Amino acid sequence: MSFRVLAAASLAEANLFLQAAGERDGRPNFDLVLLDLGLPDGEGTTLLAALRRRHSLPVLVISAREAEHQKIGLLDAGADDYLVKPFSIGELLARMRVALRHRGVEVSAAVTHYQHDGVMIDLKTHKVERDNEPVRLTPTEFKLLARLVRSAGQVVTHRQLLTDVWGADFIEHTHYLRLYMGQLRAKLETNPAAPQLLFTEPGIGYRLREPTDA
Amino acid sequence: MDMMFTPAKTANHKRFLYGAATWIGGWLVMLAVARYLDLGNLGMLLVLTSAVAAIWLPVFATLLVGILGVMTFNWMFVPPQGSFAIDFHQHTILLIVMFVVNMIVAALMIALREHVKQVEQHALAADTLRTWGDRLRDVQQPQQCLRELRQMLASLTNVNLTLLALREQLPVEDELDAAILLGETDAEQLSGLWYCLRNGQQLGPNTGRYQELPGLYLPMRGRTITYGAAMLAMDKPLPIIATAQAQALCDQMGAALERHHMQELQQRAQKTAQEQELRTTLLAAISHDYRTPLATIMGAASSLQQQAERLSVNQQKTLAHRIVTETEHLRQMTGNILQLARLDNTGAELRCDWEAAEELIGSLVQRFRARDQQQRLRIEVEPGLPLLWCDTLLICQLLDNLLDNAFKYSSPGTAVHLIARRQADGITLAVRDEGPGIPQEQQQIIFRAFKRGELLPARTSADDTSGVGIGLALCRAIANAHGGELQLESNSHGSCFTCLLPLRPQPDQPTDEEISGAVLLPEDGRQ
Repeated sequence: MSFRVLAAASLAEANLFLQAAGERDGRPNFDLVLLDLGLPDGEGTTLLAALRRRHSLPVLVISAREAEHQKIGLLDAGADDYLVKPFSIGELLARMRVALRHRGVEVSAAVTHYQHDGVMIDLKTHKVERDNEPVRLTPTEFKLLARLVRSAGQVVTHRQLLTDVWGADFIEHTHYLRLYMGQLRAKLETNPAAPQLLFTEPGIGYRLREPTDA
Repeated sequence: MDMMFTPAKTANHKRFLYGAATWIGGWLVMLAVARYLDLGNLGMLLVLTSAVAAIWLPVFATLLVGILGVMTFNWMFVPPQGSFAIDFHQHTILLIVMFVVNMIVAALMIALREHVKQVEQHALAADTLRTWGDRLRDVQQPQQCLRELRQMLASLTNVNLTLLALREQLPVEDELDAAILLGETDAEQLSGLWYCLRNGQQLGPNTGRYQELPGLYLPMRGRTITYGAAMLAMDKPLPIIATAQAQALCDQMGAALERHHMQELQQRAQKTAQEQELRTTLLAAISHDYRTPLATIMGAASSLQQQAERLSVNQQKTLAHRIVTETEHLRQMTGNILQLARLDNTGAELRCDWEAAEELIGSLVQRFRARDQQQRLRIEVEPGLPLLWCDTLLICQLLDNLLDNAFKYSSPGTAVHLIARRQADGITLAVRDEGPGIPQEQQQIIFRAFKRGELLPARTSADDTSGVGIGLALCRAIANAHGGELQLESNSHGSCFTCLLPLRPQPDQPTDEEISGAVLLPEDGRQ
């Protein structure tokens, strides 16, 4: 996959590009935005907010700031992912692919069915299988897994998970997640202490491994 | 004059009562014995009565009753009785003697009373000063006591007063922001207060300075500087003893303010010194520990830049790989230094949450997988561990550093164990290697930031030892910040770093009833 890149050195320039590029079918003529936070004429977060108000263009945030609460804040504000400097180009490309798939044209196909390494999850039929054997999940476990499947390959913050599965009153109950993720890993992972499927992003949230394209 | 230290009203009544009773008693006795005694002896009784009554009666009453007594005596007993006329001349002498003796008794009483009153005033003043001093010593912020000082001065002098006290240092200009003002003032009084504060001298009537001022200005003097001033809106001069007492109270406040100010300066100086020390060590570390990886990167990168065409593809790859490894190394070291600086800086707060040890370890395995080509990592997690209350990122950083060291300082192919176990008093997270171990005398030194043990790496070049001390010092700081500890056991078969984290009462677990709107699986999904 190759990309054509337009580099904007400031917030003002980025806004200009976005305007000049125009829109195509209600979407701007860009596929993805890589946003650095510290820009000479302001914070990148203002652009993120402006972008999110208008369209669902995927946004990857790049920053040297490592504070985890800031990452969480940006993810909750609508950023698709967050990369801390320094990072490898391989990692950047992988994150870009995931972001594009999620915001891409064929959105609906990817998110209701999940397959990776012997694990199959079908949200429509509520079926979960591991090595062709059905896996029994409690309603809450399934709800949690389904939320991760819909964002497969992307980090879902603790807050997002707790809100979507238990409700807004439960955003402080991180220990619920610890319990149910432990149960899910016990049912889906070969070795729960060395997960291959349900990854932990320490201090931020969880990520279901990207599905194998098949 | 009596407004200060006024004795209780009831005591005054009693004094009158006793005096009156003495006089009535004396007169009854005199009337009773008048016919048996001659005039001279009777007069003695009158003098006695007057002297005894003077113990209790105020001076003016003693004088008045004395004169009245002598006149009545003259009327009733001195012939011709029933008139003020005197028949015999020697009776005149008797009356004069009685009158003079009465006067002398009254005068002596005045002197005595004054003396007693002064002693009492001094005792009370000393007592007030001592209590006030204790009070000022006990408070953290003497500024909180300004209101009390104002009340004390008000009850001492019965006048309106205003206090001005510095918050910290003396400002260059008279800025009200730099001071606390208690009470009402006009512009002139305010400038008077500032003048008094800046010069540390009393102003106003009877002070020798600015005598024409309508109020009395008292400075709150510390040992070296004046920290405040009080303005007493007097219409007449204050008695010397009250002025002295008011000044003493103010000076105690000044001393307390000075003590507080000095303490603050000292604390600030200590903090600055600590920060300075930390900065110096960090700079030393950066200059020392950063040079080696930077030199490697520089070398590899410049080779690639200048001689790429002369190098084989494999050589180029090796150089590029070296750059990536060293960059990763620098990244980790930077993270450690920043985190150490944050933890060392008192007041750094942990972002704690409930964490599962299994998950912590899982996320590390995920991170180390790429580096662990030989699959050296062995995970031993006890099932059913309770949740930990900790700062995830810090604990991850701790384990990350320990794992990193274990991989570096043990031979390739040997196992590195990552262990989580339940203990009686907490959970231990441990990293054990099968390397050469750390010599006894080095075991404490290696935990000091920037003083590395002279480790003999089994495989790696000496370059890779940079930053180890920072890493271990950080690990220990993280464990301590969590109320836990980091211990090292080492022998010739390997080293084991163990982090013990205390347990907290576990949070409530969810029950399925708590969950609203749960999605039910279709029957075939449940089997």
